[in-house]
Amino acid sequence: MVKKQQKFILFYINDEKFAMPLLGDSQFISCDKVAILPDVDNRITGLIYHGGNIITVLNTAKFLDIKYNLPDEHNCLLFSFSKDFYGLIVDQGGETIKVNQVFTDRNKKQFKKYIKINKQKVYILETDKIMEDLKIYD
Amino acid sequence: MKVVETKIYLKFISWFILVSLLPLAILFILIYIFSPQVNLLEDQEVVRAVLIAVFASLAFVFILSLIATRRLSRLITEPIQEAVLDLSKVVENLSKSIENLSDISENNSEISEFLISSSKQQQLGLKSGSVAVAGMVKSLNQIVGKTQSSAKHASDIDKLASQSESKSKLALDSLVSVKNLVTENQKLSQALDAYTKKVKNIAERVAVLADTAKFLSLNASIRANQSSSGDSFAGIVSQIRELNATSEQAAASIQSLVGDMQRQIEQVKESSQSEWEETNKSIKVVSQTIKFLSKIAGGIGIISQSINDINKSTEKTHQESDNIKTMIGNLNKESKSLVKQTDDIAQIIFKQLVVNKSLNKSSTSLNRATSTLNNLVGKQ
Repeated sequence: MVKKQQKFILFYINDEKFAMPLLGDSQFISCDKVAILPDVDNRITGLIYHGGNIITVLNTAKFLDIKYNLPDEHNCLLFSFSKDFYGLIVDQGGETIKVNQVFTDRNKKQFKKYIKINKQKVYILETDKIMEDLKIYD
Repeated sequence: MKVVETKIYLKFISWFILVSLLPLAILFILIYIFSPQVNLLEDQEVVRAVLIAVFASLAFVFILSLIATRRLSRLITEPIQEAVLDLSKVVENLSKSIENLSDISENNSEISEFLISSSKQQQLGLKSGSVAVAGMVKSLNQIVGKTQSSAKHASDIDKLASQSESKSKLALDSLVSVKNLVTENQKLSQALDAYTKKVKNIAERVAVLADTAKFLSLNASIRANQSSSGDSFAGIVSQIRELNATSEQAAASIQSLVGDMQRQIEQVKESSQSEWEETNKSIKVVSQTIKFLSKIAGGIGIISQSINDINKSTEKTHQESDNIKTMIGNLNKESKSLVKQTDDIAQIIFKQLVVNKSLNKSSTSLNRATSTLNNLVGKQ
């Protein structure tokens, strides 16, 4: 039986490598001028305009619960979810890879799934999970 | 009757007796010579008569002599007494004069002693004055020598100051040239800074281009994986990656170059700024030095003139001191002659004293003679 290959986009934040499943409209952009929104979840950094779309910029470190100083100039990994565009703040974009197997780390409370690249664990930020945690439409 | 008169009387009487007895004696002698046979002494009567006659004649002579001597003594003693009185007055005056002379001589003696001591002190003073003048002359000679050497040194310093002034002016000109060069250098570094900013801008654009290329590369990779014909994208993605790598390298090189340039330009700017500041400071210092040197040169000129004046004054003083020395020499000679004259005066005074003593003796003798005369004339 041939295993189905899964595609992930790699990115780096705080010198750690993470992966996000390859979705439609995924791309890396530069998101410098973020418009700050009042009275929003602290995981939402603000809004940017790109390619005719309003993009909600998300603070990736807050989701990952890691200490991170937001730089002045940062990049975003865009993805679309329910016809809306979101951007995860990343330090640096990475390659798009194909993997045959996804693992689960049962010791972790969230973002348990990971892939292995050169025998290193690279945890996956699942967009469904992010949107579920964020409850943006509640 | 007084004793003196008595003596005179007795002398006269004795002469009268002798005068009266002498013819008798001569008579008897003639009788004895021419008539030796006549013995007058054999006849008592004759002897008696002779003796009576002799005694009578003697008495007569005695009375006559008394009268004569009384008259004679009156005739003789009165002028003698007057003369003796005059002589006594003269002797008194002489005594007084001798006393006055003695007092004067004593005063003269004191004066001569004072003169001798004064002249000795004067001589000593002149000797010390002469020594002091010699010292003064020596000091003046030394001062003359030192002022001459000082004048020479001042002249040398004046020359050096003039030379240093011209050299300082040259240094100032050089510093002004250096300042101009530094200003040019600053302008150049400013221009380079502007170019660097432009290059930096280009580098930033290249960096943006590199970022874009990087995003392009990443997004191309994403698209390649999204599409079903991903393999056909692989070449393009590879080329884009190469472009990305090249542009990143170019951006990094340009940024490194810009950084180096900027650092060097900053260093050049800082050094040129510090050079400019240092040059400005040096110019100020040199300007002040030139002013000071000008003042020093002026002051040294005045000092030199003053030293020359001092030298002239010292030479004049030297001449005057020579004159003083000559005057002191003359004074010394005069003092010596004064001492000699004082010695002569002292000798004269001594002689005067001797004369006084002899006069005193004479006066005493005269007194004695006067008293003798007084005695003779019967007055005390």
